[in-house]
Amino acid sequence: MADLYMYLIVSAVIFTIGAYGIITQRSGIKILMCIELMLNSANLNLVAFSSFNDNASGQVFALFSIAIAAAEAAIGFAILVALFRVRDTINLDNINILRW
Amino acid sequence: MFSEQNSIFPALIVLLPVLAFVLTLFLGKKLPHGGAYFPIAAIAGSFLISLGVFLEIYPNGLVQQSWPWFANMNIGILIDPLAIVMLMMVTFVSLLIHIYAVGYMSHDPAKPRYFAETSLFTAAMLGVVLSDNILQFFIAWELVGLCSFLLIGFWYHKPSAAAAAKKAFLVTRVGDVLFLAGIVLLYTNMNELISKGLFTPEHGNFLLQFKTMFEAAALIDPTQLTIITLLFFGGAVGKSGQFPLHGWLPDAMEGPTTVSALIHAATMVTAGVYLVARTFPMFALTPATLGEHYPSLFPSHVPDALLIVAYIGGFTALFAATMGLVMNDIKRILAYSTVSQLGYMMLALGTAGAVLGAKAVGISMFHLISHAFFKALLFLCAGSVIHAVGTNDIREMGGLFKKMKITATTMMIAALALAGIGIPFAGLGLPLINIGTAGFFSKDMIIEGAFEYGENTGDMIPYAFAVIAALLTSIYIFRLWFMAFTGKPRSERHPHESPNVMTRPLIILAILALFFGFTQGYFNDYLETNFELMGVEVAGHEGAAAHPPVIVILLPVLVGVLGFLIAYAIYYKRMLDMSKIISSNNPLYKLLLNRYYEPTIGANIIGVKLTHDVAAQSGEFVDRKIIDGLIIDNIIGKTTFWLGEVARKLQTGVVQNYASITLLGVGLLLLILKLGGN
Amino acid sequence: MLNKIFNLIVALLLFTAMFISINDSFSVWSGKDQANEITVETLATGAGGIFSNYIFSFELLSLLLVAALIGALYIAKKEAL
Repeated sequence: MADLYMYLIVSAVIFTIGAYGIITQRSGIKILMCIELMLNSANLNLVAFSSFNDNASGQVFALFSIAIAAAEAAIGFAILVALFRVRDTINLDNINILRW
Repeated sequence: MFSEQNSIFPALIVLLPVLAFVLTLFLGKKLPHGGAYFPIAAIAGSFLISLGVFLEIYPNGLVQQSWPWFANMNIGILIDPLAIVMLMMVTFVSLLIHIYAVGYMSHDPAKPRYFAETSLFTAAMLGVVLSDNILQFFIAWELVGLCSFLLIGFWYHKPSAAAAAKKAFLVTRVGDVLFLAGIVLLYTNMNELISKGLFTPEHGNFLLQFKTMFEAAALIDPTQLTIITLLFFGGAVGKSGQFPLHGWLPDAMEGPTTVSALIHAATMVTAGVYLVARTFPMFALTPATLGEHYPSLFPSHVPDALLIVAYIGGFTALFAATMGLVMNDIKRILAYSTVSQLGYMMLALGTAGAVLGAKAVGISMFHLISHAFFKALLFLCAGSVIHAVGTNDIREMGGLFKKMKITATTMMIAALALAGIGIPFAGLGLPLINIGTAGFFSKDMIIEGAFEYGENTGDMIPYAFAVIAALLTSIYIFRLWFMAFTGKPRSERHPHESPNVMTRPLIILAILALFFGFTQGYFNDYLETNFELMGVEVAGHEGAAAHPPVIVILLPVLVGVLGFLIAYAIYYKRMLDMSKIISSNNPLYKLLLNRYYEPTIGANIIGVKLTHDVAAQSGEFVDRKIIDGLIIDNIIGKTTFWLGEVARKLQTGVVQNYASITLLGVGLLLLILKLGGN
Repeated sequence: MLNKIFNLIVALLLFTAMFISINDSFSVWSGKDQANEITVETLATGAGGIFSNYIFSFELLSLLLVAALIGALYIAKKEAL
């Protein structure tokens, strides 16, 4: 019933939702949340494989991945704060100085 | 000890100056005299080692060391009689000039760079002399050219010096390309011989070593051999400033005088002669096809390459001497004199080589070494004069004899040597030895060799060239001496004698210029065995008439004395009013003063019009008419612009767009991989 | 509007690719059919756990977190950088 195939499909669906979110959302915070979604879907995948083997290294990998996702989110929010201080907006559609 | 098979001393001869180069370059600024002690110590060391090697290998030893390098090439050292005399001369003259330079360059702020560069140059020249295969010879040859460029352009802020350095490098480059072509051609020929099984190098010998080359030379197709040797000679023409690649030498006088003495009198320019002497057996083996096909123009039974060497050498000797007559810059006169004397050396190799075989190498090298002594002495004396008076122009000098006795006396000795003054007692049949300066012995031998060549083949043109050039040589060198040192001072300068550090080398070189000639017998005998020691036979008839008629022996001396008298009459006693001859209306004078318009031809016609304009015009034609006009109305250009405009719109600057494209790419890639059956 | 459709297509393309690969690799899955229990003990001391091979990386990870903390502080500071 709760076999490996389901876990993998759920992980793929969450990944797709996260990817769609990144390319459509305007707000910086929402983009960061979608990045977290993608990372967590990968974690789910890893843990699923690890629980169906006897090896716990998948879970270790997922643990490291969570820690790194946290670090990256922290930095991402710090950058958004600094950006807001300069531009007074976090609507990333308007931040296009590197245009042609 | 010095000449054993695995002794390190022969390699040290080259490595010590390299070490001095590195040390002087980095440590010279803080040391006194700009770190001059390093090169002086290193070159003195090299000289002592060379002396040690000489004492051990005289009279019939050799030093041969080689290590494999890549493919079938090697690095090696070969010290045979030819190399050891050259080594001793180069190290000794270089040492004296370095000592002199301590005084001459004492006011120059860039001393460390100067001494580092001359040290590197000496190392490279020693590398040329010592090398035992022609590839290594070529590499060291190129390094010598590089150092010459650096040293001519030593005062690089002067635009004329920078231009002269560039010209020197480019003109010698032409020669170097010919030389390299010769090496490549030789290599392919030797490989062909090996693949056909006609020739196998001895075990342990590499392909381009001189020994192997000489063994294979007898088997190479004669026309190819002629081309190869002429290409080698092309390299020598470039490096030694023979016609038509002579233009860089007079311009190279923009460098410091010590550089001119070291490079353009004694060492670098002699590398060309050394090359021809080194590969002499190949030259002697070329067939005499010119004499066969055109018997009315060319003498018969003379190997082609030697004929061309003799003619170009003789022509250059005369050609440069005519220009030396009219120059007013003291160093330019000496530069043309160098070109002329190098022509003599080539003439000796060509003419004597045709009739006397391996003895020609001895004759030519003897003149090379005695020329090194007296020409370096002339340049150093000129440097002393320039240092004292502050100008190069002899029209502004005069009356320097009273104030600069040592310089004047040594310069007179050098002038006597250059003009070849002496008394040939033994040649006249009197029971005394010949007495004379070194130049007398060497030049006499060359002119006698040319005469024997003329007698044997009926072609007296090289002999005529040599004698007329001797007359002109004598005239211009004594003109220089009289105008600089005698008469009333022509300008308001306050000359003083140079310091001891500069006059002592002058005195040493003057003693050598006076007495070196007496070693001629030993020298010639020693060098005659040069190729036999390597086990190579040199083709060529052995010795023709050993006693030319009396008038031939006396003629060079008479010509030299005649030149002295003419110069004495015109420039000392002022017996002839030269102002009518030396004026802009005299076309011959103008021709000579403008150096036969050779710089104009070279720079303007060949350089600008032929090369640059042709390239620019054809490039523009192709660009405008063909590429732009090919399809209607510059469509290629317009399409490129349009594509650029379109591609520009892709850069929106919005991060989400970039992310979407990235994910699209990843998805497509994954899909293609999966559907492709992976 | 076109933008939204393009984005949707991209996301669906990604999902399709992943779905196909899951199917392909699942058909050759040779592992177990029943899930193991995931506990802290297996994470820490099981085969391939943290305390067996990856202890050094674990310590380095803490260092990474400290670095991220300091970095985030620095970027988001109120006064000038």
